[in-house]
Amino acid sequence: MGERASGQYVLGQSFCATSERAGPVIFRASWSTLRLWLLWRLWLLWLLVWLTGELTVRPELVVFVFRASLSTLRVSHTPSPSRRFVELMPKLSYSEFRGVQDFQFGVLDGFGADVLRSFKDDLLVKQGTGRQNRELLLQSFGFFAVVSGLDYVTYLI
Amino acid sequence: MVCYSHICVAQFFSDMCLLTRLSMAQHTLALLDDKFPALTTEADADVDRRALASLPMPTIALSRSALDLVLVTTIAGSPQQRLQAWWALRDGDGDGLLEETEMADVVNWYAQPISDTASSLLSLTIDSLEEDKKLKIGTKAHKKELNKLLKKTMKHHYEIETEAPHRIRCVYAWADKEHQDGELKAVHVSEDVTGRKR
Repeated sequence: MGERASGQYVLGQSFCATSERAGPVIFRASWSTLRLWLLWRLWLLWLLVWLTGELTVRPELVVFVFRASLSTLRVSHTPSPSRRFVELMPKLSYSEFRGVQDFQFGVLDGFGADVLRSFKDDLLVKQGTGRQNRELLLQSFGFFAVVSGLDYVTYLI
Repeated sequence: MVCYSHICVAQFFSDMCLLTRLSMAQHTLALLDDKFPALTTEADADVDRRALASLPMPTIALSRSALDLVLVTTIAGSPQQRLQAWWALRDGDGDGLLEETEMADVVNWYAQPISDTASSLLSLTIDSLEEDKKLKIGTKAHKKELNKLLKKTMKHHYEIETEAPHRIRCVYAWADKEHQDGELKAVHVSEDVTGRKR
């Protein structure tokens, strides 16, 4: 059985992997390992806080503000208390609406005719679907028929 | 009875106009019935405005004259008059100004009865096609095919062909808005120390 180095602390049942006595090494820790482990955890925690929100540490309280707040407009990114705002969009009058709608959405004035035109277009597209292919097929067969006929006549001669 | 062709055509045209207008009025009434809760509800932004000004919440009731105007312009009015009548009806607080969502409602509600009327009239036309087996027109399969195409057209026309939602957004964004000098107004409500939502 090998000696344990001084300053090593064994948690639970643990054995040295290099010892003569065979056995599984469950966990072996030293102060340096523990420090590394704690630092790693603290760094992860800090990363999580930095990514998701804002931490305010004061003597009387510690506040963590989650960044994904829906109804709040954040105007400052300093670790000060967040300020709440209500956003009011400007309203529109009918004359202002008409001024833009005339050229931007003019189809609205003849909307019924536009619906009928759309149906007519769909109908024409449906009627024309495959027509080009049918014509091409017919022309190809015609061409081959003429060439075959000429070939046959040439063969007879 | 002597029937001159131009008189017959004029009579037919007049009948069709009447049928179209009545059908549109029918669809408008159905739409009003459907949208009654929305019409009697104030927009969220208006509620915020009232709350900030510490004004009491009003009891919203539909204006009788605005409602009449919508129906009258539907039966005998130009598209512009009809659109204006819908605008007045949607304007619950009576200041002549609408929010963006309310404006979108006005445009959608103006267009829907027209679309429904066109659909019902085209459906009637398809159903009344005379059967010609030689040309394969008016047969049961042909009518079924046309009705299917009509449904597809009605489904895609407003949003895809006309691009209505996109155009409505553009109209709002591009309009010169006098209200609030055309700018977003952010009203400071509270200093939130704890970070909790209220």
